[in-house]
Amino acid sequence: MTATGAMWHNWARTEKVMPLRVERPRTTAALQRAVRAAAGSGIRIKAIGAGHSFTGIAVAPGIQLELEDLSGLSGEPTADGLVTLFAGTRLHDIPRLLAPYGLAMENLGDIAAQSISGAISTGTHGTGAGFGGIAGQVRGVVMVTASGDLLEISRESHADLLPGVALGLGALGIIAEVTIQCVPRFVLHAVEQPEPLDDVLDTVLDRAAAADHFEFYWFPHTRTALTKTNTRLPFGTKPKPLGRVSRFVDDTVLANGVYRVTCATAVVVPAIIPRVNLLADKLTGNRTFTDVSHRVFTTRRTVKFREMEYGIPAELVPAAVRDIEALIEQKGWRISFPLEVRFAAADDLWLSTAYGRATGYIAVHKYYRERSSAYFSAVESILRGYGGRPHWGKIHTQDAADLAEIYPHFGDFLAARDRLDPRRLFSNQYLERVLGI
Amino acid sequence: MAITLSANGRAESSPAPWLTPDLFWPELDAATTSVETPLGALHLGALRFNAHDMIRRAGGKPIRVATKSVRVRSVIDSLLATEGYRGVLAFTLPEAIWLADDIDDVVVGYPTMDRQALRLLASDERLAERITLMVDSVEQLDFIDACLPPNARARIRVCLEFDVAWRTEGPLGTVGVLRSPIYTAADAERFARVIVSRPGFELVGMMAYEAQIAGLVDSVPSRNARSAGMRWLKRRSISELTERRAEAVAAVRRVADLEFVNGGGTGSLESTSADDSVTEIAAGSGLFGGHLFDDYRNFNPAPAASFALSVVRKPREDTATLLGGGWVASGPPGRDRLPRPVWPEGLTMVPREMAGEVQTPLVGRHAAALRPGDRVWFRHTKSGELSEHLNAFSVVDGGAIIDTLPTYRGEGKAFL
Repeated sequence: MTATGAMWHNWARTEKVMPLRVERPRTTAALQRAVRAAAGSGIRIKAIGAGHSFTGIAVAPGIQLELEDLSGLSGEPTADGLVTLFAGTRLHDIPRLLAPYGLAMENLGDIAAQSISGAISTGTHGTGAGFGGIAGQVRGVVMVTASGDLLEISRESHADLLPGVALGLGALGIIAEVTIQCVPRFVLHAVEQPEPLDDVLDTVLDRAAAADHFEFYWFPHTRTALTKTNTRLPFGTKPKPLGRVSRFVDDTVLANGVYRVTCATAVVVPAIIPRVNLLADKLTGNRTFTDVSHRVFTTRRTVKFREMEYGIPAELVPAAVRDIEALIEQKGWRISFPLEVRFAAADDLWLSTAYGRATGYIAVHKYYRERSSAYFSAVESILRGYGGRPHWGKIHTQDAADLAEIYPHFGDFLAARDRLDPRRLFSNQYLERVLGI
Repeated sequence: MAITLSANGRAESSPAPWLTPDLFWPELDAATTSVETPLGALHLGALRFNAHDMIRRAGGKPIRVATKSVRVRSVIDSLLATEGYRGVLAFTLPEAIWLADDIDDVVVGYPTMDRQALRLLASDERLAERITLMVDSVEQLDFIDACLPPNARARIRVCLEFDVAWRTEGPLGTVGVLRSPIYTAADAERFARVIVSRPGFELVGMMAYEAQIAGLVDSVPSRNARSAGMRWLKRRSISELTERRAEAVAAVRRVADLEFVNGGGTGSLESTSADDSVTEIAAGSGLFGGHLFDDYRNFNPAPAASFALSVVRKPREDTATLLGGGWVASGPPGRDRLPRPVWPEGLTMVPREMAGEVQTPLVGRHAAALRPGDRVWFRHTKSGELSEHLNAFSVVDGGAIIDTLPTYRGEGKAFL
């Protein structure tokens, strides 16, 4: 069906657009017809997922495709755990779809609202030095090309394109189906605790290597890091989940509710931020629990914020965090959101932030009503100095010329784009900036 | 020369210039300054948009071009060269004969009593293979036999027209148009048996054009209750029709091997394509995008065709009078069939004159500022009517005229 005339905006309210037309195809054939109609008229077309990107990567002033109705499993999983999902499947629906087969996704980010195709196309990742991002789990995609035809890309068919389309920014085609390699379901034992920041920075690389999934948060203006260490255990291990009350208190009240109040206050009275952060630092953390993997990986976020995240070589993380700490100190800024530090294994996807190197991710946030330019741009220049690559779905200022220098296969990706989308049917302003016209 | 209706080159980042009237109309005006009024313009981007949007809405079923809503030969040719369009639905037999020179699949949309044209058709094997006539009664078959007997002519391909009006018991009465006496599946099967038993005829198709669904406005902002009523009526009629048509098609298919079952209308592409008994959809009005469709809920065609008239006198300071009038659309005569002045904005017709005369006075916000020699742009209501007033359309693309396409009338072909 078609709906028009409504304003679309992303989750963080950093982007908005009134598309010429909105379509919700219910079948792959309808998706193909939408692309053919757009191509025939010379009008750009893009799929949007859940709108969780902070950048305009999915903004569609022309024809906007909503793929919610193209959702769920396409066929049965294979014996070796290959699962094919329709493009619009939301990550939070996948555990339910996989449960009957005893399967789970190998790793996840902390937000589960995204669609599978949106998550892989923007390079969504979780943490764990031994694991790649979600796109790294992709073994194949079925894509609607600019001609409206279906192109199957897998290890058997057009394999040369797989490292491009598995993390393709939506620039190469409209994804209809995604095949991912899943693993037998498992549980996670989670340990969350506050620790002195300096100790954490001194030992972070060893700890990240030793743990399955390690990450930490640091609230500026404090000396404490909140570490999270998750250990993978076989399914069937006796779970000790957080009680509903304690989960509610920790995730809803503290992570979101208190935050909403404090962030809103801090916009008006920035001077209270250090004290608020000390409070958050005292209130959060220090808990141990065990639960099925997806419940540990993901959290619900209801406080709106803006985020910038860069991937840098993992071994440079301690130096980069110390630089940012010095920067905040020197400028006298009041920063209300914590820094988030995560890790991922090297992979071989052309536009992956983790291409060819073990990666540490540093993310900075601001409450959505706060002006973020000075803080973000100063942090950005520090991280660029460490060879940083910006997350495609988060705020950054780099353009195609900058990015060509930090991605060895950037030229290959552009060549694939020229081949698959010579008319730039799938382009938009953001893609013109990061990939060129 | 035919225009290309598939875009090539880079996709546009600002996708629909017509959504910004302040830019669209002045650009169209500037592009056509060298042409004298009355002038008709076809905006190529908008025409492409409409052509492909209709294909999309048809849900994979081919669209048969209703020529009465176009009446420009090269536009028809361009559509047929576009994947998604197949064959034409002509409005008269002489037109069909003219079109069949190049087009091999022509269905005449209405019964014909043109003896001369029938003799021409029946004595030419090539034409007879390409043209299909519409029938709904035995008298029409008898009339054809009277022109040339079956043993002295080519086999005539015929299409059985099924009446899709919704005959309600209640106060609504018959909803839809009065077209064919064949209303039930039994009627259709009975008549199909008559056709196949008659020598010299071949039953190849069936048509069921749902005027009451395709042609009714259902989303007028100022008339919410009426619009809701229209939508209710359409829903009821669609469900009534879908069942009855499926039965009738199945009944006729027991008698003859149908090549096509035609349903249609620009306003009903979605619901018609969803009916499995239909194999193709006839549509045309949505291509030029008359303002009638501005008030439909499911889709919004672009203003592909428009026309301009010149101010020639100022009977009063607040009134500008244009040379040119008429341009009234088919359907029950009423205000909604009149052309609509769109640029400059804020002009309205004078209630006691409207657009019926050779000249059209306009009043309103901008009328005082208009001077003799200025031009006013209009959109038509449906389609087809423009081509009856113009010798040619100027095709505008990229802010310039790229081609001039003669209408039927411009080619000396006023068929009806």
